[in-house]
Amino acid sequence: MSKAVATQPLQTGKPRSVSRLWWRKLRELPLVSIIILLIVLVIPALLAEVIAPHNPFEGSLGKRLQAPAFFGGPSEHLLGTDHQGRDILSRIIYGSRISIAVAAAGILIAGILGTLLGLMAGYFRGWIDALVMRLVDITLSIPAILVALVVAAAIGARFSSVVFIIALVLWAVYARQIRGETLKWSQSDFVARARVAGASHFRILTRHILPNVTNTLIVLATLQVGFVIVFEASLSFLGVGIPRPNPAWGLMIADGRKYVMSAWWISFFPGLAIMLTVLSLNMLGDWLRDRLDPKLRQV
Amino acid sequence: MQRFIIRRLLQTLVTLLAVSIIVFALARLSGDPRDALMPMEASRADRERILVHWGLDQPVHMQYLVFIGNALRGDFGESLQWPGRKALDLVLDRLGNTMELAAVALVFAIALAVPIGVLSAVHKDSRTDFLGKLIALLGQSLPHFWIGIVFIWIFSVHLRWLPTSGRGTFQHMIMPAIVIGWFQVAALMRLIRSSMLESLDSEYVKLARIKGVSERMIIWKHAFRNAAITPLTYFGVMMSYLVVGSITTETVFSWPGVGYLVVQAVTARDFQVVQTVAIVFATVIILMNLAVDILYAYIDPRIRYD
Amino acid sequence: MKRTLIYTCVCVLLFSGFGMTAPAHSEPEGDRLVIAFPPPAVETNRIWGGAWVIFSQYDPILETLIGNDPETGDHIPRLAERWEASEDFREWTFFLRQGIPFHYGYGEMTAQDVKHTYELLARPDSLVNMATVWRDKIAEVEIIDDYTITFHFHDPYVDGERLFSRTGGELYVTSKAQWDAEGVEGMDQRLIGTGVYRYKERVEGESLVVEAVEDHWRDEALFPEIEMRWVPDETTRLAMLLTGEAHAAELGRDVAESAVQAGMKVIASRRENMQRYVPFGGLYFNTGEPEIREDNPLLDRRVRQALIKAVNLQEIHEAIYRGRATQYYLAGFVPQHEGWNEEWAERFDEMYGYDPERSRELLAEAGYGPGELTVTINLFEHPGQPESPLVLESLQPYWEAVGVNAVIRPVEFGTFLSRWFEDIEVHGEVWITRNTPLRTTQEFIGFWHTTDGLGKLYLHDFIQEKHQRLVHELDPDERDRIAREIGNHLFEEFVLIPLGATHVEIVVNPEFIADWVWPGQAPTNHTHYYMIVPAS
Repeated sequence: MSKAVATQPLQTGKPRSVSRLWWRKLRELPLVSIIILLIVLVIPALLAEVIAPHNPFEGSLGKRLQAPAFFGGPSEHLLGTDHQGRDILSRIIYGSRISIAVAAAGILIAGILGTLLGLMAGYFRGWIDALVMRLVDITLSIPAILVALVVAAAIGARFSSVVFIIALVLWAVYARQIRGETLKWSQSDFVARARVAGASHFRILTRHILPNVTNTLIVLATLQVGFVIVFEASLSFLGVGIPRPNPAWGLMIADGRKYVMSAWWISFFPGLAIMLTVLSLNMLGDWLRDRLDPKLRQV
Repeated sequence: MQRFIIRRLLQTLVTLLAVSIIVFALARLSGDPRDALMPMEASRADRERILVHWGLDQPVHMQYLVFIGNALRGDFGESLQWPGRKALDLVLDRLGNTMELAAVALVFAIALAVPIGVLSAVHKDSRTDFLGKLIALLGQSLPHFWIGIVFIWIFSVHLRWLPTSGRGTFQHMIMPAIVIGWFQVAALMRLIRSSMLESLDSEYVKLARIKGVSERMIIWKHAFRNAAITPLTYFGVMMSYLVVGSITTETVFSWPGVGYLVVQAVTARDFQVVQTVAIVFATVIILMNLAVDILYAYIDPRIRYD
Repeated sequence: MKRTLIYTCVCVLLFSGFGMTAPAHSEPEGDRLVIAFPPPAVETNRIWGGAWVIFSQYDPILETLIGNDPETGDHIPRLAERWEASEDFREWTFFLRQGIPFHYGYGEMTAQDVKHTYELLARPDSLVNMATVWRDKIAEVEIIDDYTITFHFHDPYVDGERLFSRTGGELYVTSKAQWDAEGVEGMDQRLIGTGVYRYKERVEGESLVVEAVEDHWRDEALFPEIEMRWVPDETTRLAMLLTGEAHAAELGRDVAESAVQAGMKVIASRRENMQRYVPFGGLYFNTGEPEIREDNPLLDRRVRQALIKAVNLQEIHEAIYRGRATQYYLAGFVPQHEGWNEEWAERFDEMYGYDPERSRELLAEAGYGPGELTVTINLFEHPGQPESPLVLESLQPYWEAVGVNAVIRPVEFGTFLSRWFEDIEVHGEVWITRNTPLRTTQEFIGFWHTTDGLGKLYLHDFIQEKHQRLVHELDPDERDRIAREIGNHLFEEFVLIPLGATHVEIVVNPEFIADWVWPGQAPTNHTHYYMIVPAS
């Protein structure tokens, strides 16, 4: 009781109300997630050249499998060295760029393609709708990893093949979601009014429908960044992910897994980086969803 | 209703036909099975002869017509890699193991997702909500294979609670099923949470509250029963993720399912098995989705069959 | 009512998986020895169904005419008591031991069974390594009597002892009586042989179990049962070994190190079984096909030497092969085979040894300043060779250090083989390959260094001509001389980077396995299962 009384004046204090409002908004933000993302993903990616202590590609067999500095290893390598004698910390720092690049490229391509087809299917209906929905069905019924294996066998695993597979997996999700939303909005009053007013299809799609599905797009994309990072790691495990000697996080865990007993640090630290990043991204995505698009049911 | 089902079945056929063409072409783009399966000592003449024996000397469109003709009669050809094994038998044998694991994984996912989803909806934005989300999201934050290896290390090597790998007893299934299922918990939990939030907000729940029904009854009897239907839509998609997730998980736990068979078949350029896996897989996914749609139509009569 | 329907449907969907399940295989018994291996390329009882590597499954069950001494690998009597080749090496005659019974009461092993096995290997769909020999080089197989059989060759065939033993052939004798009675289905059910262990059970995708034969005609099985468990991931095999689920496991050298730290023991084959090397692509100096591509920098001998001298082979042996690789001097040549030259050992260090300074000089002499030479490294997962990608990846920093742009190109193994064998498009590239089992000099040269072979590592009219003479020469001294001429030529030309020779290894739990003696020169890697000795 006395506690409540003590805090009362502070809460109603008028001069503080503006800053308090800001503070409350800030507190609503998933602050921890954002800080983790900044530390693990964004800052390393932006400043890799400045903060990485070593060249991520340069190693020497003489220095392989050295323990982290705080674990009895030499102070030169804070998180130890991998099986080629490369500095793990530097590789994780540079690896953030690959994670961002893969996720951005894959999601952008899938998002644009899926949105475009989804909008058209939902708006024009008829044969376009039938065609797009069949394509979605086909895509969703072919196991993506099978395609990944075959593509990698045919052209060799590389950045572009990984992005292609990711785009292939994700576009259908966008197309289906956006189609559903478009269907709903096409039947709304304001679209009908625009139609009566003589607006072109293009104008209706871009000015009236697209803005209404943007929230869904943003939430989907945020939630999928995490999925892409984890999926890329699974591809690496099967030998069809980002190729060696690139410092991709997934590749680092996949290659480091056989040292899980003798040199756990090779796979542990990139694993930690993936976990923190994906966890934060998902938290952020959930938060965004609650704010922007609470009805979104798609994962 | 009947018209709806017939139409959907026809669409299924079109989809399967397209899948067969795509996979047939993809398989052939992936390379030459002779390089994967024949010894280096093989002479030019031998290589030519084996090609004829496998029927791969024919023009590609002829190969496809032969394949699809036989496939329609249920004959998917003989595996190139496993001499004397019918591709379909091989795949179905292994698919049984994969489905077994997927089913246990699903039970686990539901068992974890339902309480988390309901609790985090009831106690929205509380510490329970956060903790629940954290548990659910953890399973999605690491690749299957890595969780699998860490599990083996903790529960088999150090604690000696569970067998490392292989198939046999129920204990063998626990770790791989959790690894596969955990990945799905987050998605399922989100669905349950959002539909719970919706039904907690509905008129009849408010009415029940006014009538003085106990909170527990409201949550589990009124709100949850109505919310439980929603995740069903996701069932088909989830099943496909479960099966896909099994590829890496089966490799880590040496579970003799279709997942590792796929890896072997692609490595060996075993066209017949690759094609069969893709078509069987597609059929399973499509039929699952169809079953879910029909089920959903029963539950929610507002859905129009057009 | 509606609700009941819903729940029924949900339950049906949920448990549809259970309905499809097959019964699980029997649980391992207490005294079964479990060995964790990577899955074989093919799990089949059809012995003609795959290349050499699949024969590791048959080793405990089936036997060859000629055996291999566990310590030395020398050819010793097995199903055949003795054998002889005719003067011109066109006829090989085997005198079979009498009274050897097949497993499960399929009668006595006779010449009929040997011929039957030969016919299986010569089938049109046969995929065994020596299929060409069985089909095209043998004119006739003549049964003299029940215990005498002669193989007639079209041309002189000097390597008969290898062909009819485990060293370089696949004549693993199986029962004709079974085939006649049950056909191929019978064979699919159960593989019948004469070995110390007999076929018990195969669960596809999981394991192959063999059990001891009581009162075996030759040796005693020391374990009641042995299970070969197929485990794809190396890390899982390690875990199985550490938990006692497996008593032995095939592990790469890095992973084996972890096992050793936990008290496990590495047992190596008695003799080396593999030479590994990094070839230089596109060295076609012969007249005719395939043709060299002029812009291939590797055509310059100095460039090749420079690339070799830039690599610290000693360090690779120590770091990646964990000190368990030895330096050999010329791929395809070993002291026990024809053409060996002592001088190579003496000159090796000066010509091939690690010397980055000299490497830079050689590159400059060849006209390549720093950054002007580009070499492509094909990086792939090498089946059964976990160290190979590590080695390929490690080449890059060595070459970068002497100013060579080393570009790593990831490629899938089968796809690379297509490019190498079929398209012959490897100009200016390097990769990793191996000589296993250690071939005879003639076989090695024929496969890797003539236009007849698929390998085509370094082609030259000189070698082409000498090899032809070697094939037709029967005088041992003359053969040795010709082989040495070929060797000298290859040694001077720096045709490849000789990475190192290794043994076959198995990591065992010393609480269960005391020793395993096997020579290691067979292509099936692990052999002589009857030599696995229990610890107590």
